[in-house]
Amino acid sequence: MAGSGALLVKGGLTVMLGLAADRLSWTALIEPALLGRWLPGLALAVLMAVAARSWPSWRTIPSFLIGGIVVFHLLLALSGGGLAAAMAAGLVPSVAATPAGGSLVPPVLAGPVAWGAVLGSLPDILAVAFLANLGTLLNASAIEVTVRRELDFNHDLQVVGVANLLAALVGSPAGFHSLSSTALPDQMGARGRAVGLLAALVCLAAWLAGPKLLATIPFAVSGGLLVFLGISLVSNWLVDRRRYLSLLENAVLLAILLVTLLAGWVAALVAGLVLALLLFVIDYSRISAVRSVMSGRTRRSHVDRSPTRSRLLDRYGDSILVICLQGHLFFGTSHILRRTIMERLEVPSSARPHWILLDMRLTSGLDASALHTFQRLAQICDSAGIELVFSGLSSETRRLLLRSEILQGEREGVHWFADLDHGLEHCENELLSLHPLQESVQPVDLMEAGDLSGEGEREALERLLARFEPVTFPAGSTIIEQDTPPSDLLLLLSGRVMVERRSGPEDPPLRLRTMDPGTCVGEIGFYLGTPTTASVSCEGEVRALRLRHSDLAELERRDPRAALLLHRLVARRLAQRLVGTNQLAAALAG
Amino acid sequence: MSTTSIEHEDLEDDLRRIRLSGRLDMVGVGEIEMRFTSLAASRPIRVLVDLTGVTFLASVGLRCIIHSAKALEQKGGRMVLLLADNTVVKGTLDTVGVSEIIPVRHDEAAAMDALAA
Repeated sequence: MAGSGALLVKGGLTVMLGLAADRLSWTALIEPALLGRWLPGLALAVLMAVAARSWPSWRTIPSFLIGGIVVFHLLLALSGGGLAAAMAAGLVPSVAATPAGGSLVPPVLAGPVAWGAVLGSLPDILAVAFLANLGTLLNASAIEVTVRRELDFNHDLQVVGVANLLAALVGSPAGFHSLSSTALPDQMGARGRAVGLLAALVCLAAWLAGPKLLATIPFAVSGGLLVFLGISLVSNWLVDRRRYLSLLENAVLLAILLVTLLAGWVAALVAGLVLALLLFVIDYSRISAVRSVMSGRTRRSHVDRSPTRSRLLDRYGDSILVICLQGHLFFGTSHILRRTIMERLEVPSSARPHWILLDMRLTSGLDASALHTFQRLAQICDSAGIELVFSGLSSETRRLLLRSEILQGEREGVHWFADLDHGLEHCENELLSLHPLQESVQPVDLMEAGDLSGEGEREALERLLARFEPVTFPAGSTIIEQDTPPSDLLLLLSGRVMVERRSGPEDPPLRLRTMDPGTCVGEIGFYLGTPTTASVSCEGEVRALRLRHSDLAELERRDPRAALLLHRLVARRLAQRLVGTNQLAAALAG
Repeated sequence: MSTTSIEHEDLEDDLRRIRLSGRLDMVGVGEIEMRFTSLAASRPIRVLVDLTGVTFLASVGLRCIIHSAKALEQKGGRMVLLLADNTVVKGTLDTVGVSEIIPVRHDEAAAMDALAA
């Protein structure tokens, strides 16, 4: 926009000096004989720019234009010179003595069509059509910004196409939106459809009245008007918006303006695109591709483990490093990932992770340079004895990683994982598999060492367990249905259950948690007395202890010590889950 | 082409040295698992597992070694891992806690002492 403004200023000066655009130079501007031709116009333009800011009204600009014409003719009369003298001095358009209302169709179109010449010019015709389309879109975009209103580009292209077809009938060159002709009435406050119609009527009047009408408008006014529009655009984009833009953005605007003045708008367009692209790359590369880095100690999968297994994960959880990536991975951002991993490898070997889980759910894609970074990372991890695990891959990213042999196979659950939770569960299972444990939990194991103080509590535990009913659920059966009355409390002794929730009856289930032996199920509904919020089903055969909701009040009344033990046991499980959630929140926030 | 190899040497009647080398990942372990288990855990003997030539030790390889060590222990035998200056494998064993399950030694003399103890 600022570049367009600069071109308008340049155009206004060439109009006033009567020069071709490519002949405008500083030498011409400081030529004493020519100063009188452009300085009054420049003064008028500056006055209009100041007045438009001080008195923003639709009357301001027309008043200056009419005033300018009147003053010119007054001065002309006072000096004793006539219009012919002004024409000779190059102060008003020098028009040929052509009659008014002549034929609209140029003579060249009146004769027979030279189809050979038309065919020979086909490449030029197509180039003109392409440039007209490009001009339409570029100018329409600029007009959108200037008039602060959304345009329908599709509609505009259609209208321009029809207008050009009609204009071609009278030999008119292809045209498109005019930024200056739109910006001027907009600044004057005239924003209706009548503006275009009036402009067309003025053109018609000029055609009917003949060129003499044009000869009454001095170059200082018509050129000054263009300079005013140019100054307005430059001032709007380079001065007014300066405070909203960064230093780099302002520098880019200034560079585009300079290129426009020195090499024209096509070069400025290319330079603008290149600089904007560079600016985008610089800005985007400041956004870290690494959204979060957590260890398997602070970021657990949605699998509730037994206390023994949880302790193992607490102790060796740092062997799992979880890195969540985001955005588009390219040369500007992927180096951050490499640096993040390298920092983790610059520690003593005993403190290094063994699994690095890269979650790419929030990434939008990766380019060749990022792929190269991944290849290099895979090599580094391999030589450091680290297993690289991927989750949340899109099909396109998966294809790229497979093709570049970063992924060693296509099997989900082996070579890659659908989401972070499943990837993390895999790493935890791998870690736990290195520490063989007894799978089945005895009822007394539900209490951890140190939980029971004295013989009295041990007896209370036995009485509490006697209140529980041993139950066995077959593989695949549902223990708790979602949206049903409050459930019983279940203490899992063996087998694994899955907690799932459906948003609607027809929606697919979403896995919330998986629970291992040693954990309890249904405690929220049991204590809150609210309908169940999720379903619980058995992955394999499940052995458990069940306490009915209706038995709790009786237990509290008849055996408060055993009831207290139960509350302590459940509170411990809930507190452990809360600690895990807090650690996760802290890791995500940090 | 195979990237993993296994060799063994009976140093005494009840003392065996098993030398593993190359990559102990899913593919590598698939190639040597049966032979390793039969060499390491078929008789109640003392087994020195030499990992100095292992370039990559994945969890599947660790599991294979641990299961054999447990099976050997249940039969009354004993396993010791020899690493020498293999820092990559040492890091893996330390990080996941395997060095606390199976004795790890950095030179052969110390490994023999651990097996004799």
